[in-house]
Amino acid sequence: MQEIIGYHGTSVDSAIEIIKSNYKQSCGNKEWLGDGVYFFINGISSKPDEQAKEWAIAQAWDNNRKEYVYNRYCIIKTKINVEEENLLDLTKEDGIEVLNYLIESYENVIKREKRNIKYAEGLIINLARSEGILPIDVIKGNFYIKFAKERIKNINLRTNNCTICAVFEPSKNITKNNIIKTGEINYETI
Amino acid sequence: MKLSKDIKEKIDSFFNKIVANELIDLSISKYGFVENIDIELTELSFETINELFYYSDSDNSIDTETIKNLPLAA
Repeated sequence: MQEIIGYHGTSVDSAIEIIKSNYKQSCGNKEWLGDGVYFFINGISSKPDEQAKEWAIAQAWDNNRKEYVYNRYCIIKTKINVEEENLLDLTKEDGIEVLNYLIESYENVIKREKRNIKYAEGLIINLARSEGILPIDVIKGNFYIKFAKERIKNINLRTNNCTICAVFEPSKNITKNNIIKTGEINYETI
Repeated sequence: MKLSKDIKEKIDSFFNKIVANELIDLSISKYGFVENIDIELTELSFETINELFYYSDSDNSIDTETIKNLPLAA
């Protein structure tokens, strides 16, 4: 059994709901790790709690409505327990080999149709999990994530800056949640 | 998770049983995969053009900053 400590940044209102009744299953980002609740974890960065804060601040801005949707952020520290055989670790060669074999097998089937399908990690992972191909409960990966500064200044890099993990079924793998920090978002200093 | 014999067998077992068309339909309808559809141009040259400006009405690019995934914000 592996224990992972994750940090989840969100609004105070959402955090209160999470503490009361745990995280809910969520649809995920197809460009990242598929469905699940996402956390910043130790890896490329040794300050995942700070990254969770930066994420919560960045997400306060609603780009469609052009306004801030909350002004107080919250960081939740979450304990995640997962069996080794249910953890797909894409920060390691072992995990990448599994993903590559999955994509290669997928490609070998669809090439007979000569149709051009766009791939994304999240989609193929969702397919593998939901069709019962792989017993994935938790996935880890390194990504480049844009926080407020990168969004405002339109900085796009290919160098990964975060290690994140997605937990598909919170009630199965999340054992403890604690609010470790709340604060006001000072928009003038973003 | 490692690419063990057991994991390979699980992956092989699924993909050996499904045909291409079925897999593509499943991928698109249930999981949101997107198919690139190339348009074959038959007229490759022209002498005059009436339009002064080109407007793309099929821009499929995604602005990641507009994606709303607040509930799962890490």
